[in-house]
Amino acid sequence: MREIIAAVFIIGGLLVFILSLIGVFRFKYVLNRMHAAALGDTLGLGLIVVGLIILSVNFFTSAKLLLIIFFFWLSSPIATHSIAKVEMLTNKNYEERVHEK
Amino acid sequence: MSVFMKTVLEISIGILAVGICIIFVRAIKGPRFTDRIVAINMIGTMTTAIICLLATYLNTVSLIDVSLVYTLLSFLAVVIICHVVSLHHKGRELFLKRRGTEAEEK
Repeated sequence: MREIIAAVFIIGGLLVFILSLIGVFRFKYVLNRMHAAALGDTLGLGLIVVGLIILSVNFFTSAKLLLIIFFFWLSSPIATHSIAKVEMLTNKNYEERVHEK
Repeated sequence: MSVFMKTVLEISIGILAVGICIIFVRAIKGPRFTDRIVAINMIGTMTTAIICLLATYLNTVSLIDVSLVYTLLSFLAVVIICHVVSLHHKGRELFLKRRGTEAEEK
């Protein structure tokens, strides 16, 4: 029973990763692609790690896996923010590129 | 661990590896460098997921520490690249503005 719940979580995480992959390829501009990439960063990794926590038996293993989710949810918005800042700073004609999509 | 769970882990590791190969195409093709940085960020995420799955598959707890360090290093790489590029751009704009004012004075 426990393994079936863990498998459902892991397959859900894989589906989110595949969706974010499709999004990165089908969007046309960086600021849209970033949205699709952040999906896999938070929800995909979160679902996979929750499935592995359900599967693990040791307490310290679960604690380390929780620490991975914590660091990722802390660091992914900062990385996305700095990429968007660089894009706004260096691209001179970003407004017409946003409006034509 | 049962045979069913081992099969699920193997298939998910395979799908994530294929996904890394596909996202490399975006990292090569991307029209601007920010596309490439987004692709590299996503490769880091997928590698973290693969290492976590592998730690459960091989029943090796110490691989989770490797995954933790990998997370922090990929985050640090992205932030440092963005900082260096923005500093370079600001310096270049300052240089161009100063050269323009010098040309006006002459």
